[in-house]
Amino acid sequence: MSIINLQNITKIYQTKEVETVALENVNLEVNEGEFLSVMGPSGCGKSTMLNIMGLLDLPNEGKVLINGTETNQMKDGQLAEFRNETLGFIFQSFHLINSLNVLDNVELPLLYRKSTDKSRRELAKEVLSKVGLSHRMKHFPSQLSGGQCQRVAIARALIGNPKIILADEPTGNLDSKMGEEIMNLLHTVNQAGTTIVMVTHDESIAKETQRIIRFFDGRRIQ
Amino acid sequence: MLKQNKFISIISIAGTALAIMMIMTLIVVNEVKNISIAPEDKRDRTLYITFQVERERVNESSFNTRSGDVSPNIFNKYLSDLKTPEYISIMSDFNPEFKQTVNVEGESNYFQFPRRIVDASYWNIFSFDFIDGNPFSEEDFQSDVRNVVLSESIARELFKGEKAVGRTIQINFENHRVTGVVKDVSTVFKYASGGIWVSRRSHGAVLLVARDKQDFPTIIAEVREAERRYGIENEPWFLYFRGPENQKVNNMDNMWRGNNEEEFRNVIKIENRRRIFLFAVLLIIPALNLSGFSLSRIKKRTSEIGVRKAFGAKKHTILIQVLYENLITSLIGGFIGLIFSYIAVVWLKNWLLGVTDSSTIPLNAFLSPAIFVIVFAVCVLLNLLSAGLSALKASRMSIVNSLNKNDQL
Amino acid sequence: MIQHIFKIIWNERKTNVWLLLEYIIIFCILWFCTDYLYTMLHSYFSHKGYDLKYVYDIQMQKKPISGDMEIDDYALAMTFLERINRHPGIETVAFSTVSVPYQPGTWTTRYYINGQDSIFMNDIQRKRVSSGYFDVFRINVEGDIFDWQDYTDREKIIITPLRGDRFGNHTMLFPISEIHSLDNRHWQSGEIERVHQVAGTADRIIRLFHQPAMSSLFEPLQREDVNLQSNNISVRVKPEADKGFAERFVREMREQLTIEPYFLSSVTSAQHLQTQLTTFYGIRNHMNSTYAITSFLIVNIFLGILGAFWFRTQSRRSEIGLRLALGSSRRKVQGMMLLETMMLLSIASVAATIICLHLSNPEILRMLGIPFVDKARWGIGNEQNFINFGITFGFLALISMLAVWHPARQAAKIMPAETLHEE
Repeated sequence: MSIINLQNITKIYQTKEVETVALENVNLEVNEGEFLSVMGPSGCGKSTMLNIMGLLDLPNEGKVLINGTETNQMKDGQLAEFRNETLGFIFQSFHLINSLNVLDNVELPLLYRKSTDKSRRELAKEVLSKVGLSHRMKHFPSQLSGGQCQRVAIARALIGNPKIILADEPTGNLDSKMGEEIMNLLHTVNQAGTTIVMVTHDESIAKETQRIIRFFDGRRIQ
Repeated sequence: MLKQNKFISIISIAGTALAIMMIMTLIVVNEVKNISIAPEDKRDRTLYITFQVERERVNESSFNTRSGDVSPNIFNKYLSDLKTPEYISIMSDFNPEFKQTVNVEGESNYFQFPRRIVDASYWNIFSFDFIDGNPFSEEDFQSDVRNVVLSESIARELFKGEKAVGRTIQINFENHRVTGVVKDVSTVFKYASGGIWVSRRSHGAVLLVARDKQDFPTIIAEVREAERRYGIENEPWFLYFRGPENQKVNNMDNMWRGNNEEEFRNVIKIENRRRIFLFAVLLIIPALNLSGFSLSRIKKRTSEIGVRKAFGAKKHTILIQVLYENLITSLIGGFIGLIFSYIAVVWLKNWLLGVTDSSTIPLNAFLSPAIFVIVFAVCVLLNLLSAGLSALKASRMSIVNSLNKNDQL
Repeated sequence: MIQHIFKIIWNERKTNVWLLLEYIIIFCILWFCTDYLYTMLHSYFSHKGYDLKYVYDIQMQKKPISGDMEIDDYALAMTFLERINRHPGIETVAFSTVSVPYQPGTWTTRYYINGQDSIFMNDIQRKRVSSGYFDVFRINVEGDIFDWQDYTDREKIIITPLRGDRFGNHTMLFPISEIHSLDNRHWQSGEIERVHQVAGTADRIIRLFHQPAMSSLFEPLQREDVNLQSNNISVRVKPEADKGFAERFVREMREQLTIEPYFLSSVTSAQHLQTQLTTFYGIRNHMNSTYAITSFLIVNIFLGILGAFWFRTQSRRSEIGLRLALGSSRRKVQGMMLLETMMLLSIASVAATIICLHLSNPEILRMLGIPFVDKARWGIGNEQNFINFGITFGFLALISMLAVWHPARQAAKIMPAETLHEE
């Protein structure tokens, strides 16, 4: 059974002067427990696809089914809840909140659910130890290296125990050694049963995953 | 980006305009009340005595007190013969709402008009625009016949366009001869305004006009000397003439200004404190707002400043640039604020100037060069207060940090 | 959530300090504005013990007298009464001296209470009125109203309480029902001169709204004090005759009311005169200034919050995008900004309240020439501090909500995908 199902997705960005077709009639199925890489040159629409998959953006045409649920008709509140419970995000530039420390950053997704302070704190500590950052809980993002930041971001994605993690160039801002560390972490997470969809342009990293699909000019070519 | 800045610029300009409007309203009102313009064109060299206190010591802690505006007797005896002033005059209050019964002699058509009771010297102090006839002279004043000067609108109403000068009118059934007709005077002028000016000795305010401002201390000394003379002649009573007040003090809002010199000085001190406090509030609150904005704006421009510095801009160039950019907003706000303060003064003249609806405000008071200088000065001050800190901060940023600004979340 | 917002406020303290400082200053000044305006307006709108609607003041003047004319002022006043009562618009007429609430001047005398030597008050307002006064001013009297022309009623008085049903001043209060007599004594010898017997009581009287109420005493106007020029003549007109009454009355009655040597000079609405009087005392000026300052502060805090949160929305676009991605709904993002503002206000209000309570010393306010309320004389207790806090906080909260509404909406409109790629 497929956990993500994109049907005939088309996304057009419209500005006053130009109309850019980011995705054109894309179909894609991702199976539960899969680790999928999405590849393609810059501007080919792979990030757009990831955003649509993550319900961060709406397609102009087509259907997005996640975990068997159709998301097109969902209202803002439902979408938020759905994102919070089913999806986890990892970004190329980490997107940590600079004014919060590591622990608070990791706790963030739980703030939008019913949970107690104590249980939040404990869960955050647990996931931080999973990513090997127990000793940095009180630090602020500006005091961490890039690799550490991305590990915090992964911990944040994991804390809500989502079914799916969407990673947008998670190693893009890191050197190869750190990138490798991050990939090892993601593989561990995947082996524990979480579905991962990762956008990357690094062949060597993509090769380690179960399946690679390629995009060119808004179309899936493989 | 442009739109964001537009929004913040509008807020900044609105904040500045509001502050300038409040401050300039106060200043314009002050200016209207204090500037020397016809008919009160000697305000700058006039001293006012509006209150006298006679006291008799009963015992250690208590007095018998008689106080009020200056009485005719006291004026005749102690003030009318001061040497240094060029003109000395005593006049009654003028309350446009307090009306007398007036009719043309021999006619039973009764009108209600307000009056002011003045002496002959009154006409020397103010520059009235006589349409017909003359003011009454000292001889007229001393004679048994009561004389009056009418305002143009009252003369027209009474005589229906016929010549008024030389005719006799009755005020409260008493005959008065019309010697002259003057153009109407706005009630903005506290002492020159009137409807019917009646020649008679009255209690009221005493105006001492000096030949030159520099004579003020001499005149005040003469007034103190007159008080001493009273004290000698009227033991155990003693006398205090409040002030003499200059134009500015005379226009203060609070009516109670003390029963002796010490209290009087204290009242003035408090009034000055109140003004400073008010101006401080009017400046500091918007300055806090604008400071917050300009700091945020500078934060956004950190890398731009880094680039400028990397290419050789010196600390003070950055400082001046930031201040200068901000000054443009301040000046636009200042201009709008000034316009609004004019509107406020005209619209709220009843409250701000204590005048009746029909009277006009002299335009000269609005457009005096002093006003524009003050507006500019206030703008610069507000600018310094609101952008000073951020300009300083910008000029002190280190190049490397501002270029490598890590503008993450 | 509150804890989370608190963390954000703390971590962004550098930018928040401006807003906080502004909040504190504005809160403090508004506190004192509220303190003053609340007392004034409360007094303005409360029952004053009398009614000036449809009441007019009639001013009579004296012509210059030629030769030695014998004048019987009482007889002339009776003629006046007879003629004025014939006018169809007039309901009742009253003569009085320094007793009307629309002209300057009050008269206070030392009174000893119930004949006791040690209990006296200096600040009881003494009013000499004709019997019609209570009808003209619609004063509710419990007990007997004296007949002012009846010599045997000479010592009958009607008294009014200071507050509630208590008679006295701000240092000494007695139940009004326990006051039976008030007497005057010679200022040197202490001999009793007159003993007034309390014949009735009336509602508390607030002469002018900006002054605290005072206890007062109404005594009959004596024949020898009657004078058409120096007495206040007040009339109550029938409601249907109110429109254009002053002019019509002067026109119709000028000749009839020319009672040599007196003549009718003017007729003015009592309400108008009272308004003029409070203007003359500068009280309207004070209130207008307070309104102006209040509006100024309100607009400033509005602009301040609008601007600050606009910047915050701009510089935190990606943060907001991220929060949306992590499962926050748009409404929650809006709610967070509202809550953030409210918490800033709450923090500021605590600091400001402490400052205000310490600054409430009247000496400081007097030194700055700020209009303020003498709490002791008004009989105002600490409950006023709660009122001040409530009104100030409520008002600022409302304005802050309005100001943050636009930036918050802007923030919630953000599409997460857009901001997450804005690098």
